[in-house]
Amino acid sequence: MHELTAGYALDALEPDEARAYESHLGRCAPCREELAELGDLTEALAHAVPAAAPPAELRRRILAAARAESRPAGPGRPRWALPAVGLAVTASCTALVLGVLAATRPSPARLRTLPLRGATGALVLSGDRSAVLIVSGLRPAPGGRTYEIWVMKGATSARRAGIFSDTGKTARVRLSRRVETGSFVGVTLERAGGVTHPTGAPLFRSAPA
Amino acid sequence: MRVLRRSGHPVTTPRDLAHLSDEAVVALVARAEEGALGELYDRYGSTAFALSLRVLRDRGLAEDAVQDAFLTVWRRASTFLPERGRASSWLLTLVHRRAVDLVRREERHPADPLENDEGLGEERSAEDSAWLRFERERVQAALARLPDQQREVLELAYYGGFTQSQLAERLGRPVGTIKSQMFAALSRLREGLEPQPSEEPWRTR
Repeated sequence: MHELTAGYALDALEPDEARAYESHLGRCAPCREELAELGDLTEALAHAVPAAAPPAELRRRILAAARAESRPAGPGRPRWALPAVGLAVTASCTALVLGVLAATRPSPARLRTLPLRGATGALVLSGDRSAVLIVSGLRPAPGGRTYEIWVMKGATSARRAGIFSDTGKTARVRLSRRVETGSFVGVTLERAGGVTHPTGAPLFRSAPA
Repeated sequence: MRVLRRSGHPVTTPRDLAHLSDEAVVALVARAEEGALGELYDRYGSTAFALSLRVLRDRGLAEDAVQDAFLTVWRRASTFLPERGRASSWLLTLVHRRAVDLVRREERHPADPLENDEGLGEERSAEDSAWLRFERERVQAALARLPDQQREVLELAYYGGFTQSQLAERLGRPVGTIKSQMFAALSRLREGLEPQPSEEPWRTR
């Protein structure tokens, strides 16, 4: 990785350096590739910030502003040359009022994550004990089979909490059953449609709730 | 990374956009389909706003930066090239750049902590909220594993909007040191976000 690429990806170069780097990008394919790869990393950094809900009004305002604009056609600059954004009408008074309104929203339930054992991911629990299973890098279930989720307690109690087959890069499945304190969640591979009792030990499981 | 899809939002066009990839949605934005811009906002508006607010620490300015970035997407969607990265990265880069421009113009870099207002199934679907929570903790853990000086430089640059020279001045380190620390921090973070060998997921074979 080029040192300048790191600074550019973080928007931390001085304006003249950034311009020089952009014209270099036009000539340097390896740097363009590197920068594209760093896009994943800066996107991860964007996801690491505390959650904050924009006012509902912002969506309407953006669409209204887009409608009001006539977009110039024709070839634009290449994508790495990010344009100066300006021109947009800023409605500061409206924004202020809406910001105050948004701040009066009731505070939502807290979320808690439990690590998984045997797979990469987590069980995310909300205050009302409802849960979502997140698991990365899992292969899709083979033909005729499905992953089945269980809320388990001790060695014998296992209650069905949903099935899934499509895993993608990161599977996200909402459980159909709440996860009470002292229980944990396990996942087995079962025949399509699911079964009423697990036929084997869990492939992976969560830490106890 | 999967798309963030907000459930329950009224679709503004007859076309159902929910099943499209982000890149396909941007292609529709390039054809001036307003519904596609709305769909992109439903997927990334909250993340964009949270990022913008983290940098700017002011809700009004954060909204302005998000609006400017989405309008840039509206104007420039036809210049987006999928082979140069994901649509979500492009959008969030535009948001970040605009937020950093504004924070530098305002010359305000306050550092008060932000409240975390999230929950399962509030503004987003439970699945999206849970995934975001997981991703946030994963990245925060990777950041926490960086050496202190590298983490400091990375966080002040990305979340604080400081340039490398401003950081050199503020931290009393030569600008060359700042540059190499920033480079090292990103390299390490990239390694830190790779799946851990001990966490090798279960395989069917």
